[in-house]
Amino acid sequence: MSSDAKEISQRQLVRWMFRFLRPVKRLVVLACLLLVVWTGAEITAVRVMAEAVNRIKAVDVAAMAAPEGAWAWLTGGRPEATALRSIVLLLGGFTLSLGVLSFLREVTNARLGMTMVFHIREAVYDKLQRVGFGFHDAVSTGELINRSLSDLQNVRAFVQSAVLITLEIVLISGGYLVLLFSRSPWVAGLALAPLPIWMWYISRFGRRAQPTLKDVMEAGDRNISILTENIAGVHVVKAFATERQELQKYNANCDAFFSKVMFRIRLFANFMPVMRGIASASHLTLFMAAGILVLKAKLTPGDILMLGSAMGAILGRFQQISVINDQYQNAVVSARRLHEVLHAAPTVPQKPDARPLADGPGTVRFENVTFGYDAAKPVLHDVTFEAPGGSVVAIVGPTGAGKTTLVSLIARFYDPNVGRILIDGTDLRDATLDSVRRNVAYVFQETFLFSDTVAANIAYGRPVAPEDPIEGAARLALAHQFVRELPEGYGTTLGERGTTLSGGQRQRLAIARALLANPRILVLDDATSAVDPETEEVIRNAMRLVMQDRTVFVIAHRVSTVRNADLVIVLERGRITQMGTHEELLRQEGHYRHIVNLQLHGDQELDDTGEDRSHLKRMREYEEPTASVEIEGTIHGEPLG
Amino acid sequence: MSRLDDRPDARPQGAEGNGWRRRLAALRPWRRRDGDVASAGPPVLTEFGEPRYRPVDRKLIRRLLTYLRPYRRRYVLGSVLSMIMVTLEMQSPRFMGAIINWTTNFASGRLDPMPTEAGAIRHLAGIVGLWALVLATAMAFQRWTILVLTDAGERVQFDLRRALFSHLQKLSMSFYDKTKLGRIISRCTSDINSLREVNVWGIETTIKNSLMLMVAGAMLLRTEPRLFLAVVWLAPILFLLNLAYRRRAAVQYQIVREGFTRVSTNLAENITGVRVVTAFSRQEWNLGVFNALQSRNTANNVQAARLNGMYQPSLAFVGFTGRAIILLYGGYLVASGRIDRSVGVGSVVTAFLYWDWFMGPIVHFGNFYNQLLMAMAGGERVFALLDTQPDVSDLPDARPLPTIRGHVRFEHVTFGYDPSRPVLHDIDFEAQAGQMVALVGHTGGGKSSIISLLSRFYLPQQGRVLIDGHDIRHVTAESLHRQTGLVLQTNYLFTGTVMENIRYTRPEATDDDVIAAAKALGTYEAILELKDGFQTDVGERGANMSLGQRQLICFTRAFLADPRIFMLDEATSSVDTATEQLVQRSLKRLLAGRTTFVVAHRLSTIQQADCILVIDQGRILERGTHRELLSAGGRYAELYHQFVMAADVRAA
Repeated sequence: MSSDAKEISQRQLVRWMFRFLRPVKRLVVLACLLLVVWTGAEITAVRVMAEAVNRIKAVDVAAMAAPEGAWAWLTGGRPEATALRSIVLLLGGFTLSLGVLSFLREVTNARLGMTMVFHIREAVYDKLQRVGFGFHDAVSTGELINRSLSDLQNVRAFVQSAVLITLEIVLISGGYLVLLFSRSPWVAGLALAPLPIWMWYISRFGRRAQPTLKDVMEAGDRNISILTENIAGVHVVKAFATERQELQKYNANCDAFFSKVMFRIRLFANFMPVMRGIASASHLTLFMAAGILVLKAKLTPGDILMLGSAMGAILGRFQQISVINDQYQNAVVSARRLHEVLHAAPTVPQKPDARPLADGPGTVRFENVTFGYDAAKPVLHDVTFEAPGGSVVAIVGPTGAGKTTLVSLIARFYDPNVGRILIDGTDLRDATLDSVRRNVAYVFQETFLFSDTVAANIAYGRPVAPEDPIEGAARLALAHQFVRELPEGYGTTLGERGTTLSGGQRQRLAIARALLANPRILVLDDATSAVDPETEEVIRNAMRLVMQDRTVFVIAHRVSTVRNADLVIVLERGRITQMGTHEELLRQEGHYRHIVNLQLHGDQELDDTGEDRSHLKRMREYEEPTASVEIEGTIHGEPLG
Repeated sequence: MSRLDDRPDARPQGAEGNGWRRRLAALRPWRRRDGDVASAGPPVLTEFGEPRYRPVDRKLIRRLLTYLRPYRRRYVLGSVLSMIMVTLEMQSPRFMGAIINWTTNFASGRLDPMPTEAGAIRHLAGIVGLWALVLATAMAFQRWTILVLTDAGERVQFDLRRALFSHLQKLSMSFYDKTKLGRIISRCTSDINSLREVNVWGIETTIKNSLMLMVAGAMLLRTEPRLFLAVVWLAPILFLLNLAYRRRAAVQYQIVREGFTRVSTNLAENITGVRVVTAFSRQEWNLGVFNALQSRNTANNVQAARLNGMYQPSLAFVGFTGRAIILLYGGYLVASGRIDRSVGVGSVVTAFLYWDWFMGPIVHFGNFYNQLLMAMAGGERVFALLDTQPDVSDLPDARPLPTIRGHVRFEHVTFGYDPSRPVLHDIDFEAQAGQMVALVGHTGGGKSSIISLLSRFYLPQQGRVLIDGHDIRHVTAESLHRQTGLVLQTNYLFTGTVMENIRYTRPEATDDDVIAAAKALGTYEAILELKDGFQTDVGERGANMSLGQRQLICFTRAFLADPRIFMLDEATSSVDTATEQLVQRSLKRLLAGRTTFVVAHRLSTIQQADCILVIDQGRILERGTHRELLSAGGRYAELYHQFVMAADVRAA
């Protein structure tokens, strides 16, 4: 995983984040314009409201009206009625236009945010599916999903508010400050005096509250995990009668959880009144000072209300500064992770002059291949062999020997550190990635099916395949029978929300999927490991048909799967220790004959044969701790047990 | 703007009033953020497609109240405190009105004994000082209210959680077979959480908002009854508007969430299945599919924003209507002398200010009503789970099973998970103490059911299961399970270290006991080879260990429990040959001297058995030792030959 991401400075990172605004330039401009207009309208509306109060006052000094009806009074030409009428119309106009403006802002902001998300997520998605396995081996799946969902949202949230909220804070509080100071500088100054204390208090609280949130979440997670395990492991709980013990565990967690929750609530309970208290002190100071000015007839009563609103608005915006600060802290962390993904160099780059793989029989040649996921710790050492086109090659060996690693090099999932791999005479590194992969199909050890229909899963390698070949492939893989019995046949949806299949059924679908791709080279990585012996027999029969006219690589533990191969490769600790046909290897002393013997007889039956001693010797070798040193990468890293 | 911040709980709010509680929630959201924008409120369905809303049901409320009752003092205290707080806070418009009246009247020289300017300022300071005192008291009460009510409400929440968990321990296996894990989890998490708002704030909200509504109404009424009548009809409109919005928002949010789930599922699968994606060169196609999903997601979110964007302005418009009426009608009343001039303007201003206090509770009632509907749906499911009766439980006269030797007898046992469709027919056999019985046959034949019956996970419909002559129906579950052990294919491990997992069956065992057990079983070296030996953290579901290693740990766990009767569902998956040998060897030691039942998949295991039961379609087809059955030439011999054919390489 080569990337320059770690070296990037915080400043560069922030600049990088703001680049996400480029594709939404127009929306940003529109959102800012709307904000400016809205701010103007908002501040004016507050002034109108104050004027409304003054107009009631005006009614007060007006001469007594004639005892006419309300409607007649209102529509009549009396000055105080006209004044009230005009102010109410003005107020209505502002309410309406503010409503329209805030609606437009809401929609524009949503569009802006979602478009940003769209572009970033698209980039991450495409990067992740092209970056190469080396990257995926180094970063866990869950983390990558997290990066493409929440990290991305964190960055978006910050970038968006950094522009729009900052502008709103500046405009609104600026506007109101001007209003405050224009009415009376000393009232404004006095009222704003507690503001620094207020902000200090909020940020101090934020710092103190943050860890309590983590505590609560952790306790909550533990609560759910105890529950989940209790249910998922209900057989164990019941079989060993540990219900009481489970209950104790859960109750202990509940106690801790409760006290964490209450601690946090207490923090809030102490914080809220103080925060409001400081804000109220500001307000009351303002009212006192403004009241004195009204006494001196230097301000109108409407002004008092207006100044109160202005004060509230300013306090509200200042409170948001701490929100942006939080967003910034989150975004920096998230952006770094996102940057790492988006700037990761592809682990198997395609040459600019790469050409499609030429047609051929499917001969695979490994020439002195040495490879390690970490170059310093090779998993394969100097592997050389040739699989003629159309042959069946079986690869056997203990867990951790490097079997899966070896076959994953055939479709250039990784590049060897030393040596080269050729398909029909072309070095894989000279061919286009797409052509290599279209010519090699895999049935992986762990079957992965997508939450889609059976048909779509089989047609995964050829998304536009018509129905006939899909069914044909399913027949070949002996999947047709059970697929037909599914509720909706080939249209049945699989996965979490759909039907669940047994391990054997899943594997047969994976085989059908590989067959429909009609590859020159087919790789079966322990394809029958998850099925019982009877099903295995069925699948093996299916495979015989399938293997015709292709070069096939088979990894298997069961000798029965291996014995018909044209070439058996015995891999031990990353080296080829034996190579030949089943009969040839059976005649040699070595790992192959040993496992054949082990599998054919239970060890009891071996008691009185000479082979028993070699078997026991082997067992002791396996128990030496050194045997676990080589772990087979992370594709299915199962350390030797 | 926080509304774009994809917090599921960032609901739009109405007028001020309970604003601090929103701030409490919004300042640092407790719940984790996920998903996209989706701010319109929770969807109509839960993630399991269960309704999130349900009409208010008195029975449910009464039942919920039984959980609140133990804390009734706190609730009463909290409500009283809250009422005092509200009453104090609601004096603000009056203080405001007083300030305006005093200052303007002084300015226009209309005070009767006209005070000096210094006197007027002193009087003003008196008003402001009193106001400050009232607010300070209100805030002190606020702190107290939060503490008392959250304490009570959270206690109720935890009582419910504990009750559920404890009940889950009693439920039978049939329940767990029928119910998906996720559903049970959501009972204990989201369904209980849906009750939180009601449990903590329900009573207080109802009382406080009623009080606010009444006080604000009374203030309007007192100012001028005609003014009150002129605006009161807006209240039901406001309430319905709010409710209608919530309904539509819930539907829209459902759409948003489904769209987002598609996006995230596609994304997650593309990462998890990246090997398949790469191997089949699907990148371009997949990106097209993904972007189509994203476009839908964007459109859904923008639609939700449209809905959201209409909400606040429509509330504001109702607010404006009220204000306009108060201004115009109030103005008329003053101008025409129908309100006395000396209090006229001040009282119209006060009414103007109280209007906000009148609107606030109505919006809050709407929100709370919405919460209540959600609590009804969640509560119904929680209580339904609590009402689920276990199929298998200790009989009232159940006695503990004395220490057993391990003799097992099935007497004409017939059993079906669904009684009308038996999976076992007239099963009758006997296993002597210390014998090993292998159960052989096709998948679905009924082998696992026999083990489930012996574990008393289920009770037979006919016949009896006897251990040392005791019908297991009549003994206590705990005494039975203390003497039996079970290892299933899943090799389930709990979060924690290997040491803790092994100790699971005997919490009182010391580290030395565990190590001694591992040594005796021959798994000690294999465990030491793990990353941190016995202190290795197995991670959830034992994720970072091989199948073979997990199996060895489960064996050791069972071995430490030292059961007289041991049951094993052998793993079908193959591990590499060396590990397989180790597993077989420790298994042999584990089984030694115990009555053992094995659902067998390995030839070597079957060959060791004292007795093989060939089970086919719920009946015992053949029984005997390996040699006997082989020479009998029946179904077993057929299976055996199939097996050997598969393995026999020399024949090639």
